[in-house]
Amino acid sequence: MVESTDGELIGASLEDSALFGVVFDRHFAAIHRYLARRVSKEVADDLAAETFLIAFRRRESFESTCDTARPWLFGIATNLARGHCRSELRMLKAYARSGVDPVAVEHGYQAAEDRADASAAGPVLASALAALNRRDRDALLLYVWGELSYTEVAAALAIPVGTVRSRLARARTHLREHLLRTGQVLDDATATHAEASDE
Amino acid sequence: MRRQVMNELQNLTEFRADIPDPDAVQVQSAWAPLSREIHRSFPVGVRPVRRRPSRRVLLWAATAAAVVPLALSFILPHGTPGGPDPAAAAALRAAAAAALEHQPGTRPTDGQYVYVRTRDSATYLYGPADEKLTPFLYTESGTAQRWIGPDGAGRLTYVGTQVSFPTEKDRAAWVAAGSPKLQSGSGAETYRPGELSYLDLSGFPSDPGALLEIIEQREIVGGPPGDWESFAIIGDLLRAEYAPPKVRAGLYELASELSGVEYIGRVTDLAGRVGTAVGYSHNGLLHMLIFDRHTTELLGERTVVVDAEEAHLAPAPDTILGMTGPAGTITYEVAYLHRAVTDTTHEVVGTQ
Repeated sequence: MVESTDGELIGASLEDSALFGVVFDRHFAAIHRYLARRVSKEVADDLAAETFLIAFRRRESFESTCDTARPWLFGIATNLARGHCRSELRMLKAYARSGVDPVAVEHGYQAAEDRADASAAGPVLASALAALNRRDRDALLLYVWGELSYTEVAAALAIPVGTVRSRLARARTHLREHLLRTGQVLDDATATHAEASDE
Repeated sequence: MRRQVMNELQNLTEFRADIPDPDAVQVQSAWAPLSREIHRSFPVGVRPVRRRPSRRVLLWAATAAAVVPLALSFILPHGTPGGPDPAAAAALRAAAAAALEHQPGTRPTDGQYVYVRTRDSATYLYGPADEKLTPFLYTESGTAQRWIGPDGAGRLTYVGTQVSFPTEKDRAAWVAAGSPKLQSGSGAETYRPGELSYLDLSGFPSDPGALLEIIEQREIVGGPPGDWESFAIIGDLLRAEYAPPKVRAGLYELASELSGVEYIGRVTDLAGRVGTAVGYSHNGLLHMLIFDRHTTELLGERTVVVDAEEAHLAPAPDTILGMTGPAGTITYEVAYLHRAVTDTTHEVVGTQ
């Protein structure tokens, strides 16, 4: 039993557009969740819907030999999120400053103590993310929240894999330094293992 | 400051990790503009003929669940005549593949029961005894529970919860007819061994060809042969009391090969859950199967009128007709809320 790849579905959707619904079905939740972690709930709703509308309109450009449309869709979503960069930064800084995450509050988590990431690391990470330059932050969040590989991040951002490596390395170093400066302790063994298994 | 051992990527993975997946309303809101775009994009010459829903249906739709307008937009035939609809086939093949990743559920032993709790809603056309009065539509909703054991013994309960009217005009027609009693009420009945149908698919083949052979030989139910009949039987089997995942996979695979099965897309079922729906039009009605694409369980079913003439709209005096109404009318809908194995016929599982 062989399931159709995204490439096959998108290619066939040029003749039968309803097939694109299957691609929406497969990836909408992941794209929405990625956006909802970056921007406000309302904006995430709009951008996730817009991502699939744009993808549908541009589906002729999608390479039908690609097994998965994830990098392509995450790339569109990331481009759209750039238009809300200021709002993203404002919310990260508010979290860093107050210890209360505006994004989480929007989703109904009223109290910081209810949050899974409500350890000391939450505000510190928010501060670190806000201090990253936009390009490094995009690469990092596609890699970690989008769960894309280096190659897929490269495809999503239309940049060489080597550039992805350098952006991720820079972003991780920045995060580690930020965490260490604020009193967080890194477990070297864990960190080393994580680095070794990244690819 | 509290010190903790961590890795920056692990921490980032957990950062806002509790942000939930989009709910049914969010998914529908995103899907609606895309579905409109998809339908606009049919190439000239193969553009489906839209059946414009009547004003009455549109008014009803406005008061019904958010999915109804979406369902109306999807009662359009867009399959490939004479062959499987590629979109439906892809969705069903995906469900087949997902089913294989699941472990078989608990199979009831003698003395146990399969408990299923459902919510349903049926729309009827009522023809008043006085032919001068206007026929009207009404919808009856309720909750049913059933406990059925492998020996065919069990218990059924039904609680009628609500009678409503699609439009004020229907309500006015009901009043003009003397406000006849419409609700069938509630009840509970206990059955002895052999009196209820218990369907165990554990001995069924998982190969689609072998399943089709069983279906075509009509070893399960009678009825006219053909793809519609096969689709209907596949629905029967998917709601069986016990169906191992590999058999469910075979059923989805078989459905993907049937001509006439249409891809409906995402719909919200009667319980507010988002599922993937495929359907088959027969006798003026579109019969949908709504399934969860992750668990591949059947979430619900829905029947929508696509051709009122074919669906026999005109009722005889003093009769109540089901499965009819103007195009777009959802004549029947059921959501399977809970399924579990119980030791008694009074054990209730779940709260919904």
